[in-house]
Amino acid sequence: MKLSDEDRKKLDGEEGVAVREAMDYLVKLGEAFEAEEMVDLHSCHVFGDYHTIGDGGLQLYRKYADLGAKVRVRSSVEPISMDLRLWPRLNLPPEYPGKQIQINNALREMDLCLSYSCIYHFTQNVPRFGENLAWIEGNATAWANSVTGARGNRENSITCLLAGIAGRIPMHGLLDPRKRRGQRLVEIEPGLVARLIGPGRSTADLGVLGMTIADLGYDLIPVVEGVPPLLTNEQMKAMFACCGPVLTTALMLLVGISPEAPTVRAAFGGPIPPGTEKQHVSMKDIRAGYEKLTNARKFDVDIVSTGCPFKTIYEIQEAAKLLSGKKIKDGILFFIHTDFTTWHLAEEMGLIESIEKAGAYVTRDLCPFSLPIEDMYGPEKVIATDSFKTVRLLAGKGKPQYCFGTLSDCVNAAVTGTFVSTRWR
Amino acid sequence: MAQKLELHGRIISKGVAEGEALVCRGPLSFMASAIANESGIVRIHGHELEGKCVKDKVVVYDTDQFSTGASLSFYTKCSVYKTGPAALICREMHNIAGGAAIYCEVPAMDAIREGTPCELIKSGDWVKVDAVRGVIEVTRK
Repeated sequence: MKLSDEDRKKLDGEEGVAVREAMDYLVKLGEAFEAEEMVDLHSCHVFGDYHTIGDGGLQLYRKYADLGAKVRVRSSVEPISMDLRLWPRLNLPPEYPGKQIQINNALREMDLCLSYSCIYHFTQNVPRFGENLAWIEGNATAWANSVTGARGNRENSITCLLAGIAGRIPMHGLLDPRKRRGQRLVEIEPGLVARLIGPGRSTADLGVLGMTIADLGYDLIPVVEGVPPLLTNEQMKAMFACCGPVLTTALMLLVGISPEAPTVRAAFGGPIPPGTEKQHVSMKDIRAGYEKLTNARKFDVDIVSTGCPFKTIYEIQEAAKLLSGKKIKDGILFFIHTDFTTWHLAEEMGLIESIEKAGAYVTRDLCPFSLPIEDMYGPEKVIATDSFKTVRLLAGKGKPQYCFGTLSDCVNAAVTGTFVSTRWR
Repeated sequence: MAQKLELHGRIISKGVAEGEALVCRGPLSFMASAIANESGIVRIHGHELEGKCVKDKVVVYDTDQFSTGASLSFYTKCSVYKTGPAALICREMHNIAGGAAIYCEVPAMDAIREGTPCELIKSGDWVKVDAVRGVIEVTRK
């Protein structure tokens, strides 16, 4: 792998032990994945929750913080395992807050922007065309690659910190412009996407659309025809949630939207190669997706969870409207997940008060993924959600039971106590 | 005499290790919620390895699905609980496990020349991964 003089100085330890160790690792990674050269990094986004990174992650972060390491690029941090405001009311394991605060402190010392968010690409860490990213968050990386033409893999949680410390990353996978070509063609039934957009149901419907596209070839870059150009950020976010739990690559070439896919031909870098698989998505697939995502044996819900990926301010507005004048049934926990930046905006706009009046909580900083659901809830609990990502990403946790449906159906379940899907009537 | 098989592939993480094979056909993840850090037991609901333990095994799978957080979960398994695998073999290594293996000095290989690893290696086989020479030696159970 080609290294610059600066890279060699870093490898020789001229910028300290942390940078030397980071470079040593990045060179090995680049050689393993056959990168031809090291390139400048423009942004990093790292894991933050104790549940995922564990004591090993905490020790690793502490080690680099103690070595005086600082990230030298624009940065952000994933949601954490506590809500800095609400945690005393959550049934968190006793060691969690203390461990989480130690992680936050280490990240703060390393100059990370403490966003605690998975939608940081709309706020503190906005990507631009051609930038090189080291991001651990799938939905955001898929957005960056597919909508803006920034370049990033679903990069691993060790690399993201070390690349941020070194300011460099091996040009492997999607960081290499030559490896950003389509590998399969997905044709969405004409008019289908327009029928998936509607108040109270876009998140669930478009989440299932993304999941369907991803399930058709989880490690191949799809060229997707049939997505209208002016979907909202929120609708796109729902579709890109498939990146991570299902799609192992982080680029969906949306014809007419992605900068690298003005046409199908451009997306494939020439004529469609012979043997390329052509796949179709119709309304039948969306319905089948809904059915697959519900595994509950009973429909009396205990928990309603929405906001994976996190809710934007406009989605919180939507939830507040749906909850307006309603009362959540006693004993049901209704969580709307977002980051604290958006939470404070929602508070200023009166949305927190309105949602809490209905008996729901808007959590900050944390998400279902960052919590030990298996210990907090147990397998007998039934969770209603409009997030396909919650169901597929948390599928291993304590075998919880899920009812998957639209946000409107989730709100009704919280009010009546019973989940009823109205989407396919 | 036990049947032996020699395979060749791409080296992702250098080193030599051996152990009993634990094989699945599909993707896998080392994230804490998918494989418990404390025990190394797979807990993905409905996964073909559900209930099996990865500790000290040569784990053979397709590629990494689920979370990028798996790399730090992998590190926690290896450094804190000693529940990490002996070695990894994938059809196509994702950087999630590949990078973790490099950082944790767990030998790892992919792109096996002779075919798809999950078809060539069976659970219970004894597997020696020489990720210095790029050679895998499989001794049938």
